[in-house]
Amino acid sequence: MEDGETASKPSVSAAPAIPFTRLVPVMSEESELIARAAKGETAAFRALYQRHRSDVARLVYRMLSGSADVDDVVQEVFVQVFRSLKDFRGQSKFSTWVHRVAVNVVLMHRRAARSRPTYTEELPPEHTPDGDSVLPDEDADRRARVRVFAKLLDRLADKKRTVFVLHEIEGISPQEIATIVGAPVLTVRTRLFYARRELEALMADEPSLAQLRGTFSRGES
Amino acid sequence: MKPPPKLDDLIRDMKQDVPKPDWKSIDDKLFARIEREPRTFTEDEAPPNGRVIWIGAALTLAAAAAALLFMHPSASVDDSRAELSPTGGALMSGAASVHGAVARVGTQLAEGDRIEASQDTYFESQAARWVAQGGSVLRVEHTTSPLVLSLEKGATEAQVTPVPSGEAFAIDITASSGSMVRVAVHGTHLRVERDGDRVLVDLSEGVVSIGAPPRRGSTLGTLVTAPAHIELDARDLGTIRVDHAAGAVRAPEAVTATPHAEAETAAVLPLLNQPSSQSGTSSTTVPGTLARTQLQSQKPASNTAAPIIEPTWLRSSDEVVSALQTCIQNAVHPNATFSTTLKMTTLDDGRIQEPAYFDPPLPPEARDCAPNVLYKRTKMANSNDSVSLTIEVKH
Repeated sequence: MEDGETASKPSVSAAPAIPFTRLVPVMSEESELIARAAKGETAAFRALYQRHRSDVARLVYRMLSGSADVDDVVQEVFVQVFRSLKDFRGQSKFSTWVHRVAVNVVLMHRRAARSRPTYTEELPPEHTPDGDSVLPDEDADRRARVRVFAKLLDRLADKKRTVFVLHEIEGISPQEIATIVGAPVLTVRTRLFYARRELEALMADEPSLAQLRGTFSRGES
Repeated sequence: MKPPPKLDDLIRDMKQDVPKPDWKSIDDKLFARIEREPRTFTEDEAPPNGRVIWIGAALTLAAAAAALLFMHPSASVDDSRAELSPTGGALMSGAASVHGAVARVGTQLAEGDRIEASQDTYFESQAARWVAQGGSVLRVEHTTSPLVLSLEKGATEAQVTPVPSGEAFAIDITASSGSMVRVAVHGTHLRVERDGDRVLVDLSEGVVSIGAPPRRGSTLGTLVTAPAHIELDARDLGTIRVDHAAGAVRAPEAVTATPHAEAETAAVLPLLNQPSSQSGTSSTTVPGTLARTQLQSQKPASNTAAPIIEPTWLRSSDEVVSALQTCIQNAVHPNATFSTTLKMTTLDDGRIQEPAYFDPPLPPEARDCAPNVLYKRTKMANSNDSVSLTIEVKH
């Protein structure tokens, strides 16, 4: 019967004889968790959350330049992840997809934050140091430098800051970043180039950084 | 003396700067929200694609306004002085009726008002400008932020100014089944049309969230960013389809009465700065111009108000700066002082290349009028030029 049908459709029979092999996907543990979480299983989602929350928190923290809103944004990221799990098709790594969600949420948060009229400079909150291996002065110097650098980063356009943080600080490859931000790899590389160039220019013009140079030198000595 | 820190030094510093979130707090709040999720979406459980819900921290929401009616293309100068309500909205031009009575320019909309537009009718509130397409019927459901309009028939297009407090402008569509869909506008330019239960949304700028109207707070729904053409059946949120292809999105139209009336604009623009002394020119005004001038004259113009030299186009840096000062001045808190640097590049024809950058960014209230000034009213005399301008607003 099947043969007969094929014979009646020459154009089909002319197609390469590729056997139709049903592929049975072997689900990884994470895939299984994703599938279960997508069905609304909170325990599975909690497991995914535990796996990825630190990465997300770090990315959010860095993209927000140490803003005090990190906790709220991290929470929002995972709410969005939960809501969108059904749309995750497995075409990229789950972590990449989560990063993409995080980037989008952060950008929206920043857009919203910009809409709050701020006429005085808001300094990033003081961050509690780990204090494991550095001396208090040294750590204070480092934190001061980080604050200044965060301010400079903040002055980059969203697209450039995003790829800069993802690549230079988070260590994500341009290829993966391209997936995260939905842009060609070449575009990502271009943004990286200009982000670095702008940051270097900003550093040269930043008076508070000039003051920190001495601090930095002392810290290194 | 050691060399100053290089970029890589600072990157290394930043890598060591690890956040310490309050996980317990996050966990508690997150899972409390997660537990509530199924209830929120049970009704629209349908195709998985219909549940793409992005709600970003998009607090930049927009807002807007209200509704109603209008006048003919021969509005008078007095029309241009229609008061703008911070909560409702004023009819700027067009022809419509509210509750069956003809509405006049300046008519303020209130909750419960039902607007029937016999022709394109423009409204303006503090946070948004919107037009009720001719033949449309809308109802003002809520006037304080968010301003919620219910679209019973036809279409409406809006230019919404994002607000920090959340969604400031929303359009509700009640399906024949009784279920309701809300298009909550995070900003900034969209058009919503309904044909029975079929809903079409063209988002040319900004973000919208489409979902069931919340009892309070933000609309939990599919978050869509521009450009996007969205279609759905109001009876079933799961039917939502989003096309981000630029070609699929209906070209946005200026939400002003007669955006092309350049000749008339020349006569009217001076009114922006001298409304009282120019009343004698009323016969030359046109509604379209009125809508635009109204925006710019919501508050008394300062002595730095935009000196319009040519009709429509701003051609010099000073003109652009003045126009932006007026724009910002009208938008921000009366006691605020604001300073920003604008970096922009002009194209071959003198228009401003998008995007231009403000550093620091503009206050949200000014993000509606500033693009209008830069991208719709400016043709610099110098083409292919990069310009950096300082804009200061002092009250």
